[in-house]
Amino acid sequence: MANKSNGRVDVTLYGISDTELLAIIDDIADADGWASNYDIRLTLGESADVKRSGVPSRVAWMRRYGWLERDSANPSAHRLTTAGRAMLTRPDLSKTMTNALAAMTPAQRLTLTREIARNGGDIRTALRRQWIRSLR
Amino acid sequence: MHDYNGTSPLDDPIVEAINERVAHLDNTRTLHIEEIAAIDREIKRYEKALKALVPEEMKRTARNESVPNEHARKRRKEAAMRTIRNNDIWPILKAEILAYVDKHDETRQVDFREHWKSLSHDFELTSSKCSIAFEILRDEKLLRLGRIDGNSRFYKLYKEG
Repeated sequence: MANKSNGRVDVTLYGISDTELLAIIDDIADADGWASNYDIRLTLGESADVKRSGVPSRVAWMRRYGWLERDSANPSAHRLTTAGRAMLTRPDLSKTMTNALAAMTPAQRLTLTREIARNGGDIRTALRRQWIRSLR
Repeated sequence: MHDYNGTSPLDDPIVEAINERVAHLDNTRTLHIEEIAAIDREIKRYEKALKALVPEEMKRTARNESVPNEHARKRRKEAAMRTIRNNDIWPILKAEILAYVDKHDETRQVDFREHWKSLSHDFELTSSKCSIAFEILRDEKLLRLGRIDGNSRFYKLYKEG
């Protein structure tokens, strides 16, 4: 992820993944789980005097996806929802899963993709965004 | 807590319509990305043919001008990642990176490279190779960006449980 010379940071999906940003919010959250946009920006190394940060917009989209909820008392503060926290739980694959994936034929991979897309449920948006990021 | 008079904003038809429109635009964007990739492949095939047919000195000057090619950069990066993954050292390097980050809670690539030098491996871990290795582990959700401080990027593991 590049630090741009104007002090802004690349907080697009290509600069930082959804799970990374959620994990960072979780890292810096206070005792009640809230993290402010300002603190997120500082953690990502963004200059405090940057006028148009991409962080609020990215955070707002994550709220719309259901991974964050906003503090009604402080609109610039957010915390992870249950869905957001679920995305951080054990993201690594077991050896069995990794081996099974490696052994799949192209046709089986397509079938798997179709099944995951069809039964994705609440994580359909996360799946789509991960697909886009992985194709970059 | 907001009072929505018994109805949720999610039931608002306007909200639903906007969500549908956004989903449609996201799908459209994905399709465009795939189309651009296909066009790039076609351009590359034609350029290859041209190179074989047209002598170097007869090529138009415009083609020789340096233009940033984002997709070519991505292809090079993908090729570099494949090279690292297919190297025999990769399982060892991967394990060392994860163990080092786990031990230090967070780390920079430069710190790990210093550590790697102290190990008795023949594999020279240049800054670019280290960068690719860390990127692979980020892709595999084994490593993540923790914070940025000036020009330093600190990497961490995902929390357990």
